[in-house]
Amino acid sequence: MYMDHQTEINYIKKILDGDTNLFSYFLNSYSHSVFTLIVRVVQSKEDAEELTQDTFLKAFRKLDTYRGDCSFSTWLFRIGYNTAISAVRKKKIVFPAIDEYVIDTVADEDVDRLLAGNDSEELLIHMEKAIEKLNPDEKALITLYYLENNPVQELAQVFGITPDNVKVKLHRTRKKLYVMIRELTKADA
Amino acid sequence: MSSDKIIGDALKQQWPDELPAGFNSRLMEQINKDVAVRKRRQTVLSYLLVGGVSLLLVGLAGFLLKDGILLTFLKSVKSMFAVQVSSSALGFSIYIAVIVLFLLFMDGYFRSLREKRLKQDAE
Repeated sequence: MYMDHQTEINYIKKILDGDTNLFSYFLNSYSHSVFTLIVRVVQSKEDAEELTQDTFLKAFRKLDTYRGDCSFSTWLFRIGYNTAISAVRKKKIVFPAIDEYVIDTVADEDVDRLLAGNDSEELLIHMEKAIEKLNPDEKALITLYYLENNPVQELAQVFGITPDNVKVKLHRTRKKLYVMIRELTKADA
Repeated sequence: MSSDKIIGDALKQQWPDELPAGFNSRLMEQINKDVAVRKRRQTVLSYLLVGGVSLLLVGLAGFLLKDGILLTFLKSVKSMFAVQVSSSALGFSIYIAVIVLFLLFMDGYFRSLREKRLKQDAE
């Protein structure tokens, strides 16, 4: 499906030498994944389409700054993530905060039990609602990890943090989702 | 952690992943337009640069002629070589020579810039 890293670098060189049409390869390969990330961060299909377009235009204009030290998709996701986060910040949306103490008191076993064993329709609906309430950083993180199956190492490059920090953030996000689902279940009862 | 299937399922259901038909081709068109605009801008800028420098040289020549500096210079050149040359013809020749030298210098400068860029790209 995707070309190897060296072939992509060769493509980029050719594009920089003037063979602009080769950029369509990157569009066809990654536009879907970039849109998947952005739509979940900004929570609007129309905005996401526009921001996906902005992401690729930015990538094209800054193609000469791509140094090849990470995969092209990682570089593209970083641009897409920054573009989406800037758009969300401009809207000044306030996301519900959960007391850190509450998150800290949640046992890992409880979270594992809820997420691993249960795939009821009710839980799925609650999970969707809980994900909506996450802040944009957390949405981006779980989208790239659970939906795009990106390894922790690549996520660290996208978000500009260490792999250990990525693991910590994923761990806390799971707990946060658990707390929110617990509250939603209580409210239903 | 990666086996949290329910999170992946919920994310999948939340939003459609499909981009509108023709999205990629429209974007490619826009990128091609962007390239064309950039090329045009570069051409206009280089014309403006050459035009500006030419105007500057004409202005400088006018200034020198107006204050008689050029004429004094030409007279001294004439006396140095003791050759009977029409001062206007000599002035014109020097003026042309200066422009030619300047344009040759600019040409060399832009060529070396281009070569450097090509080398960087190749690396």
